[in-house]
Amino acid sequence: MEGRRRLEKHPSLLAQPEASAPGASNTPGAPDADAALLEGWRRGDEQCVRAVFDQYYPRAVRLALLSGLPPDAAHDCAQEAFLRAYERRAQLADLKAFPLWFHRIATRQIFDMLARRRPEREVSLDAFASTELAEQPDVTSAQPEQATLAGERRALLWVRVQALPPNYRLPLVLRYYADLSVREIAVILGISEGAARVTLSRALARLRERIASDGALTPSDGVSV
Amino acid sequence: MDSEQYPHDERQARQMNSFESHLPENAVGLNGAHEATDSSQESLESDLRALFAEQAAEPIATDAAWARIAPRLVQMGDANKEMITMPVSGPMPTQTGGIHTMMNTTSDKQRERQAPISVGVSNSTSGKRSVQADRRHWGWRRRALTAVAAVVVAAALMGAGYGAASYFGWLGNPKLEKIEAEHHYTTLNQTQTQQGVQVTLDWAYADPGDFYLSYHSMGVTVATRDYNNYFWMTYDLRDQFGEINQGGYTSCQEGPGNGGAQYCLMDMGALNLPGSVSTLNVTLEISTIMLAKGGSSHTVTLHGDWHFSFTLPYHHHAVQGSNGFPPLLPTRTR
Repeated sequence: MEGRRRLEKHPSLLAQPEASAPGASNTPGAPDADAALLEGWRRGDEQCVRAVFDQYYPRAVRLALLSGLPPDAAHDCAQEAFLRAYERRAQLADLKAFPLWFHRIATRQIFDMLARRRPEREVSLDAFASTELAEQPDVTSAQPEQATLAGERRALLWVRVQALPPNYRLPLVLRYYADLSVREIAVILGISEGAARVTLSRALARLRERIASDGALTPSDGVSV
Repeated sequence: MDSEQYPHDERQARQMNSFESHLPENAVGLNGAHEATDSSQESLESDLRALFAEQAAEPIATDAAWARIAPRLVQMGDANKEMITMPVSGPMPTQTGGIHTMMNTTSDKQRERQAPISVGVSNSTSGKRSVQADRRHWGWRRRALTAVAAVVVAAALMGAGYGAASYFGWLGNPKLEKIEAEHHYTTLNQTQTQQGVQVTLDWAYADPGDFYLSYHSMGVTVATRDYNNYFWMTYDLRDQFGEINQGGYTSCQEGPGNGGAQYCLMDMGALNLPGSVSTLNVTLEISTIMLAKGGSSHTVTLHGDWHFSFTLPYHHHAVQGSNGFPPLLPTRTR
């Protein structure tokens, strides 16, 4: 009942998580509500646990999907991340850091899952990348008469992102989907800020190279999506 | 990952971004590539943001995933890593054999309703129970109804003059009413919490006719709080002369769930002690508690060591109700 009372006192806790920005690690506007929610989560209050799950599970699933996992594996990954977070909640000293902490757990789960699924990506990225388009003909060649130029470019960009190795792809997702800062990405990946910045820079450079080699998408054109 | 510090301050994050934005335009990364500060870089970044946002636009349903992980969350127990013993297969006992379950003051209808929540006392500490191993589902609707029912029951009890902290069992027992009214009982207020279950001994009373022990139990973690019944399956209750729980009778109110307590009154019958005895040094060790929900076959068995000890005056002259209420159990000889 305590959890229910808390939820009633803070209606914002019941808001759909999709309404907030995907990477809103420091949710503005409702710090007290978030704090109360996470306190309840740590205490084991059932409704708070469910509310935290509703808020962070979709983010983790999207992170996994954008990182290249198929839907089933993405859901498994996100569920495992939430379970691990709950299991280790006593280790989190500052609840304000929960979003980043959870992202870190989820990211590690995604890395592990990617490594188990496609170890060859790490070994021969270039070969994989060069064959990626051929492996996914639906993206670019299916019904070309109906595909707009923007759609093709978008599809190509998606393929090129997915062709990046996980250690490049995941930082890009964290940066441009989760909207995390370089410092936050460094914390999540367990590397220094400088290393995180260089990793992002290399990932973008690799992406630009691939796009340029496609010919259809040049850096000067940008990518219209 | 213990107690790691994360940059949770929004201002710090902004400063970091600001630091990046102040890098010289010709800054060179470790790989020799120019740090992207030109329009193509910005365009690529904005394209990536748009691409990811588009790819992530589809809503993610959480209900099915929650149903999958909820049982595992329950099994994880509380923050102190107190793990709930995995339920094991077997029939759910409604009572132990050979023991009365209800007083004769209870109607058949009440008996039918209360049968699953009134259990007899185990005869020994060795018989560990096997209970039903259903997966746990959090039924919001049932819990809401249970909560409402609990409020109604609580209001009815308060109206009848039965305080929650001192449960005197059932209506219509003149002896218990007199024990309460004349304060012949000894207040204990001892609490032990293990495996997410808190057991509190409220009061006790002993005379040649009866040994009463009033207690309440409740779940205090997410894994244990939603149950309505907390049955002591195996325990050892003894005084300085030996074991007391050689057979007895326990009556319980069904708890409200949602963290509410279940109140019980145990009557061990006559102790048949020598006349020189004035105090009882009582110890109670509960080793198994079964959690059950009203109207559900789902149970969880917890093993632990809820240990209590207290001293109790032995009343040589039994309190008698106005109608000379008979003893609940035949006098035993130890």
